[in-house]
Amino acid sequence: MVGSTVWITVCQSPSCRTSGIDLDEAAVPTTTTRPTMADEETVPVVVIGGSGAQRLVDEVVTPDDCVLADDWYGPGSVRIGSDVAHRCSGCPCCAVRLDVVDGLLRAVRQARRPARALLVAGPGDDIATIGYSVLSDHDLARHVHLGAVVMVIDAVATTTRLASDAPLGPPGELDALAMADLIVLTRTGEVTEAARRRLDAELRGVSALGLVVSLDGESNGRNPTLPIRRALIRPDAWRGVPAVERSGPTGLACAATDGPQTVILRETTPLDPDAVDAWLDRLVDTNPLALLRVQAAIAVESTPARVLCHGVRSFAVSQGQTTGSGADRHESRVVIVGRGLDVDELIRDFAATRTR
Amino acid sequence: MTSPVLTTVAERWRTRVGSGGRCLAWSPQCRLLVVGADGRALVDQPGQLTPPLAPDPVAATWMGERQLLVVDTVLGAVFAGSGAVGEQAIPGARCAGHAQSLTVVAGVEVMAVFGRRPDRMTADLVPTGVGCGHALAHVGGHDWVVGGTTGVALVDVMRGRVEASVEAEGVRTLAWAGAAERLVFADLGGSLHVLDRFDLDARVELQALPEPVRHLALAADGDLLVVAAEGSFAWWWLDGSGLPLDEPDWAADHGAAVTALAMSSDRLVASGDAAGTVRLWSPRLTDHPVAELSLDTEIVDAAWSRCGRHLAVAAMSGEVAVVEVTPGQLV
Repeated sequence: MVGSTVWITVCQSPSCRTSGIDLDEAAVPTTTTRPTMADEETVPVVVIGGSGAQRLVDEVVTPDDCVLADDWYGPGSVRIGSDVAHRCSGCPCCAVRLDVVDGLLRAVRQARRPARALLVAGPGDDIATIGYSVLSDHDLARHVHLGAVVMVIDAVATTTRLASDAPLGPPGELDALAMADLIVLTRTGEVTEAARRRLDAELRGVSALGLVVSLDGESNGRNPTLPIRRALIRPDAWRGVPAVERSGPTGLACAATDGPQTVILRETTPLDPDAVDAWLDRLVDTNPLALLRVQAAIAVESTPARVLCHGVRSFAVSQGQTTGSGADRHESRVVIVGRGLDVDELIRDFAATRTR
Repeated sequence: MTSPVLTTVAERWRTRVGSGGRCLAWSPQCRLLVVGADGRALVDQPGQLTPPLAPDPVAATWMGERQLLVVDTVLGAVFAGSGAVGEQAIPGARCAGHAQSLTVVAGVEVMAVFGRRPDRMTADLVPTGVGCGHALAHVGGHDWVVGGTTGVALVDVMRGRVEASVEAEGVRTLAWAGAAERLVFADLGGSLHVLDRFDLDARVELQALPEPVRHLALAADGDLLVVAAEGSFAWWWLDGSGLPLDEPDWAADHGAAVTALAMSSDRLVASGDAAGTVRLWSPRLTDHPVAELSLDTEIVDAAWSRCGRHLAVAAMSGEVAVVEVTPGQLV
């Protein structure tokens, strides 16, 4: 069956090395005779990026959450009762990794753990690096899991960009949108209906996974934060079955110009476990920095439950599906978000993993 | 002649602080400071607990015997003792140390140096050029080494200038051996770098480990380096030039990920893990612990007193234990 195979990408910066070290053994959970806090359910980390990330946090934070904030609040102005950590400078990639690991460890290594960790990505922070850090750090893995990625978009600024024939966003923002589970629009009441429709269409061209909602509420008068709160409380968005329609075509789902692509692969016959394992290994091994998100539910021969797999860049983990298989349990669904993907090759190689 | 192989451990006391343990520090005369996740500080013994001093403490040090300093990511440096409490903002403060009447706190691109002015709570800022400082060591005289996001710098804190620096990606732990004038640091890639203080460019890079090294300890003589990486740890024996004498000895599987590591002046090594187990190891018997104790949750810090007789350990739950360790006699 698909194993927990781990690859390490050291850093994104040109001076850093990328090592393809297979840590199959290290990924096996350690057994201990005494219960530990680490045996309990891990804390979901919700990564929130974009121009209104802090505002969204203010809307959805609860007393049980901890927040890793981007801003320096200064003495006496810490607004959130639980743990707060701050970003520091340096090589952007390494600084993010050090900050994410240290901040999250401080936030969750307490007698009473937070219900969620809301991690605010600062302007310019690479969401993929944050996701990779959360997933790949062994100390963190005992305490937290990557729950969801949320992007906040200012509708006025973005529709203005589009009206000026500028792209939806800079490259890093497009990558984050393509990875996101939830895209929250702010100031939608200040744009025309036509501009809003164009914005929605552009977002659909970048994101196949993200649910688009408005922070300002829709015309039916519902509590505007309620759908966002509900949507955010998806602590297993990354660990579950990819949130794409059950049926649909295999192939390229969306692609931004000079931006990220999203490829969806489907198969209704069981896959050969060795073949799909080798394909996943090859996929991650050959595209270590190009992969922004991989998420899969794979039905393999001889295993009653599907194998769920998710990863960022060169790191992927897998576990058996424990709930919700039902009628879908023979269907494999793979979503790959990345740059420079060879779509035809992905389709061909994935099809070749069918049981012969 | 003493040998640490036949070692006895006697528990002196055990208590609980706040909402979780964060960090430990011993004074030169064996006064203990324990800082909890809620910012309360336990001083000397159970029951002697301060009110919350800081919202997000990350490190602590004694400023002599009567005043302590807590490093906080929000407030910066928080002072307590000698009848006064104060604070000074230091952006990105992460670690601190005290030596020769000077207290140093590493923050973003700077070291804050306390003790140069009559007012001990006012700092002079010295640029470091290594991003956010995550590790710090006093290397003699007025020289300190700081490891940060972009490398390692040797800083003369009295002159206020960087004497030498080395680029590295993400340095989060380092150790200094005074007798050998040797520095070891680990980077995010899992590499270990052994350097001579007077020639930082002539460094030896030990084989890359699959994990970023979080914990390392170096004997005062500089000939023994202990490195924790996940569930086990390695013993490296180094020659006079910092080169490894042989392949490292990998200690027996810890049973859970190693989360704290400290070496005593007697070269006893204490390791704590994610299951709450603390093991004591002797360099003469690297494949089996010489003593063991347990706390209720993951160990977050372990610290030896300077005399090497007392070991303090703190757990994620806030449980803290202090034990007296007596190295055995070689017969």
